[in-house]
Amino acid sequence: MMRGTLADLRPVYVAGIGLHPYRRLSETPYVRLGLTAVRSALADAGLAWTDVDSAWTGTAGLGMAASRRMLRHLGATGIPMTQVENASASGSSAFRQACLEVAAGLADVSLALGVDKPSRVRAAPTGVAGLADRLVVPATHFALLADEYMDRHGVTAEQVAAVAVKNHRNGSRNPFAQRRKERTLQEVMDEPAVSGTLTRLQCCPIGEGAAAALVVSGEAVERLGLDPARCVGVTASAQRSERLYGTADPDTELTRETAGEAFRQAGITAADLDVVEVHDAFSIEELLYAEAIGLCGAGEAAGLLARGAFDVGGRCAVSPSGGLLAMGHPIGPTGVGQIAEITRQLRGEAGDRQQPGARTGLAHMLGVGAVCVIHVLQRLD
Amino acid sequence: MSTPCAEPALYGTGPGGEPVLYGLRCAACDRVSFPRQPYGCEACGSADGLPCELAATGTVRAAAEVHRHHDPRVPVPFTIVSVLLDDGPLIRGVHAGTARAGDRVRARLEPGGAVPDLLELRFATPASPAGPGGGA
Repeated sequence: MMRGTLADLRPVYVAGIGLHPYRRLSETPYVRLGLTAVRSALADAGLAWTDVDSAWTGTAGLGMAASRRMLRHLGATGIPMTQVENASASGSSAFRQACLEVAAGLADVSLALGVDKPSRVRAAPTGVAGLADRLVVPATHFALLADEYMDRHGVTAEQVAAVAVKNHRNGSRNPFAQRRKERTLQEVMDEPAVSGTLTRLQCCPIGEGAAAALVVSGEAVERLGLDPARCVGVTASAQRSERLYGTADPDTELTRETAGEAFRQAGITAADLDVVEVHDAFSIEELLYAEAIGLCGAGEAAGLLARGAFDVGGRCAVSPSGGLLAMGHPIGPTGVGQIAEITRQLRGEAGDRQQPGARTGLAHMLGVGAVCVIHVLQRLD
Repeated sequence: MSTPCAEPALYGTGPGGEPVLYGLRCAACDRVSFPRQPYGCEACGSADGLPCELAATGTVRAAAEVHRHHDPRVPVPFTIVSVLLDDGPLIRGVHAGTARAGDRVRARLEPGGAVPDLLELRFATPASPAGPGGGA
């Protein structure tokens, strides 16, 4: 286990965020996507590229050496650049590396970038396969979890589909979202079934895009004259991998463990959370992880969702960006995009999807394997 | 049984001709797992795994009828089940009919899969109709 935490090191902040909209595959090279996000983040922070000490790029599908071949067009400053691949959590792990480097004092300003274009990514072949691995695609894996959840807690397929209704509503208010159309429950349910009770709109779109976050130290805020009111503290960075959990769902149990570690680092509880972005690649996941994070007890998430507790304006806004379901899941950018959304929310700059009075947020991603990465962000004024 | 299995590393027939799953028992901690792998025990790290045969019977934890699959050679719909085996591991496999949580299931070896001349393992509930070519 890790012997130290972010809380043992000097404070770090998100000073700038930038995105290239998530969208379907286009002819645009990844270089353009990534540079759009980085330039936007630099402008947002009021930083120059020459102020940036290091760069971490989360990507799973671009191929080797993505960073330097893109970032040289901001000026070849010679800073260290590294690609980070952690499946769906690639961007989250890139952000974590940037936070750790700044917190450790090795850098004052570090760029966390996620950029990807859809490609035929595959997990590293282990040479071992189960009975139905070829047939059980992610939608079927989560359809099985949905079936088990509905059976155990007496929840209906419509109650699970309501996650997609909420997240499409949020996505319709997010100019960077891939799916920007509000959907009724009827529309979600009338879509073709993919697997089990999961319909197309309960499965995330995988497109292209980019997201960037600039992580800075307190010293950098002073030295570079940044606006402290727009800097959001990163008060926890937790990353774990799966253990054995008997017959319980590993992603849910891994989320529970990782969230517990993040809460200890930040000195908060789930009750303190105002905004949460979770790995809602499939609708059922949001219910499972809301419970695992501790927003409510087992089997309670569907009922709370129906009563508006997870809406923008509710007790805790879950996936205010639209989440993976509506904002999209371009893989590398996804985890950094969550950081961008939470930063925007905690600054009070989220417009018509603003969670009122948001002060504390959590970003959660899983990567197949499985790994889990959770960050807690807080307004510190 | 003379007809070969589609995945002989994963399953075959026991002494009485019944389908069995090829599992692994850790020599150090006794953990039973499926499928077999040569790398080491997930619970304790020991590389000493002993081959064992698992009864292909269990209880359905969850089921999903799959309507879309990216590979056009895979005919849809088909049913995938999570089965808690009587011998321990929770595994996933194909069900020959439709299933729901709580169903008792027993595997059978039957033709009619991707390679017609080979037998595939599918779970079935007592009331399930036989797959193409008849049941085992």
